[in-house]
Amino acid sequence: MGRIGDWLREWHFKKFLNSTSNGWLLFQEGKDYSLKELAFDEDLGAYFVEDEDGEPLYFEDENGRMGNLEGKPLGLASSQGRPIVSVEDAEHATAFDDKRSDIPPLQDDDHISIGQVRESLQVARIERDAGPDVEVINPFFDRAEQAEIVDLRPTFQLFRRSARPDTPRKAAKNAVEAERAKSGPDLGQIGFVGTIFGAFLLGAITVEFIAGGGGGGGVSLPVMLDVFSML
Amino acid sequence: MQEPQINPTQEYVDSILASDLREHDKTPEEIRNITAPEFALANFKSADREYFRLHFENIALLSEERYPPKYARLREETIGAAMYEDSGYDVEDTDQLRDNLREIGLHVSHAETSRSVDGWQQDKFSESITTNRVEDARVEEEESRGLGRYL
Repeated sequence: MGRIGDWLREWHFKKFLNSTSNGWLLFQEGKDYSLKELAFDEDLGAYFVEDEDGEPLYFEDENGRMGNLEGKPLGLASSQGRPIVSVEDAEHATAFDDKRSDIPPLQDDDHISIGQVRESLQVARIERDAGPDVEVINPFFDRAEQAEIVDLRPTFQLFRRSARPDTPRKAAKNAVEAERAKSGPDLGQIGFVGTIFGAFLLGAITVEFIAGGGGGGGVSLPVMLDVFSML
Repeated sequence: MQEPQINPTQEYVDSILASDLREHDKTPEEIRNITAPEFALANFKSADREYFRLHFENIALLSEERYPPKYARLREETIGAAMYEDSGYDVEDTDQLRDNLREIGLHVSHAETSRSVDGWQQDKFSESITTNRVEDARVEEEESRGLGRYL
């Protein structure tokens, strides 16, 4: 039953994965993970999933971080950002954070040439308009394994902007409501006409009261409404 | 003879339309633009005002997302220049005050556009011109009467 059970589990798992065409998103919110079905918004050019309230949360994969799980696209994202990331990005970011605190300050009598630094550690050089150029060196460098050089730039370019998953939904909602406000009736004008109508009606009732109390008769209400309709 | 005063003067208009928010050095550029005096001098309907209010909210969202995430090391100029391969990288220091000014700017913008409903602010300036011209004419007439003004 073991091999049959494994086959059945794998069959069910692939059936589950294939139940959607756009892929899946491993979504982290705080300490909670969930596997959400991805949909794609053609107008925005972004993926989206639904949150607990059924509202869309948008995610972008402009840097091509979507992976592959049994032939189905799989991405990683959190509630704090719109970019879809990968486990490697998380490793780079974590290791970078650790490295920054581990770098000991250079001592005055340390000997290391610029050429050695560039040869062994440099991954890029950024020429700046103002100030000295920036030499990007690899904080992961291990002398025993010189081939392991990791370029951090693709990971950090994912987070160039503070992009929240719910921002496109809020912006779209505002835009729709704005168009609805502009195409609908002008409430200011309606209020103005309403004020005029109310004042006329009050005056007509007052006249009716005074005239009716003086000698009986007076202007009947249907006549008043006909007069108003002529305005 | 008293020189007729041209009202409203440029100083008067500037003082009416002045905004401390636009002068604050931590106000985001987008917020300065949506609180520009042009919006107080327009001719809006109520529906137009609501239209701009909602779109200004979107501008504030985009303004907030211009910069790297808060508390990110990428806000350091050297690291940002290296990681984004941007030789001119210069992220503005987005502290809480700037975020607060962004929120305040939306309210200021909404208040300023209230002046432009049905051209209210322009009408007020026109009334000021008319009132001052009548007063100037009255002053000129009294001066021209000489001693007759005491009769």
